[in-house]
Amino acid sequence: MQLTDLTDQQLVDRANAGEAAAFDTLYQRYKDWAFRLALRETGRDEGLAADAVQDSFLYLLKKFPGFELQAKLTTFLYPVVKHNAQSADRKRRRKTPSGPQTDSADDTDSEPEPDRLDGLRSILDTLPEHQREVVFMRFLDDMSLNEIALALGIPLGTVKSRLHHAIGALREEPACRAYFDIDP
Amino acid sequence: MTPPPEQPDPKRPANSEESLPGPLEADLRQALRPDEVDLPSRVDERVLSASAEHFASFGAKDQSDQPDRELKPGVLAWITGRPLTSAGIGAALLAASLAIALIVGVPNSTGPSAGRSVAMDQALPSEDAAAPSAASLGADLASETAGSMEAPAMPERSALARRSGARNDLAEVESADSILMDAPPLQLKVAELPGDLDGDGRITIADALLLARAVERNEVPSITGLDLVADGRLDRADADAIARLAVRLTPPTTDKPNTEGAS
Repeated sequence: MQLTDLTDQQLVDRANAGEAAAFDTLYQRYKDWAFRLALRETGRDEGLAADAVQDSFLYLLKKFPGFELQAKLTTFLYPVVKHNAQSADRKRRRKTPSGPQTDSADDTDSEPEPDRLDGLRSILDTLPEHQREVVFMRFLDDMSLNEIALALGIPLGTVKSRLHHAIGALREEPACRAYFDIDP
Repeated sequence: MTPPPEQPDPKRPANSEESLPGPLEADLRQALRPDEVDLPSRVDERVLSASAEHFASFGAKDQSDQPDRELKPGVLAWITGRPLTSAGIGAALLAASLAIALIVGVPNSTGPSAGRSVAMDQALPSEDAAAPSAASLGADLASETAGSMEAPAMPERSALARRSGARNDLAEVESADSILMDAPPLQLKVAELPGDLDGDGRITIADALLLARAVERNEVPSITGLDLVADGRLDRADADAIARLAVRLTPPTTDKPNTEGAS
């Protein structure tokens, strides 16, 4: 059986036993996921996002041996990557205060995109940060409600409440009513 | 990009309040999550090289640690890693003396010492006077150190010492035995030095031992100068106080009473 066929838990066990290739497999498995998250948190600054990903996996590396996987690895990585990315983003902003950054991805893609997607980004930007984060974790990072609760360190009910209010806000947006089969 | 295959997509109820309509979710992904991301290769190189170094050192360290773990597990490793200090030695002596007081305080009805009285017993009026002089006892006690008195008059301890071949230790054990077993009646009077039961002018662990045995047998006479904790009675606390005085680094003097061990 190849390492890529093993589960995260099996790879963690092997890494704890000193198998570097098991850790490398975990890195290959989650580096793109982490990079997307870092891009989002840094306003799509690829340099900062790459640094955040590197620091995050080096942090994970130091956990071995003795690392215990208590949930999905993304639950562990999410707050680490987010913290590193936001920290790098704050440093960048302090160095270049004249260039305010926006939260969403609206400044780098060269290809023209449909107005529909631009409008969707704008709508998401209107959501409170804590609601928007839960929406991203749920629908972009493919995390379950329990994983979100663990990653953010908040009760499951709070996650459900935030998601409920976020979806309710989207439902009320005229541009999104068609998605919910509601007459505009 | 889809999530890793071994990390199945979380269970999402199709029409719950926590789900988005399919088209909206698809547009959301298209707008905010590009399918292809290109992590710079420098990150790969840095992380993978760090991984190789880390696990190589981890393996080497694990192998080098193995003999140590076998030789010095747990508490032993902690103890052997501590430097010896005078305070530590004193604490160890104190603990040993208290343990001796407890052990010797239990009457021993079997073995070669059965039926033999010990020093404090001989202070009682019913004891006979066939014993060495008080002066010789004082000299013997004065020549003993706390370490030599740590070995109680227990036949099991003597046998163990013989089996281990510790001849010097055995001699000291037997010497302590002879002192305790053959001691004359003590001249219990107002001591010039508080805590000096045997009147040899010093406070030694033997004094604590004598008082501890008497306390165990409820045979403590009212003697002034021994109530070191000043609670109006002679009890275990006074024996502990004498033991503390005996093992402390600075020798007590006869000039001023010492109630250091009261707490």
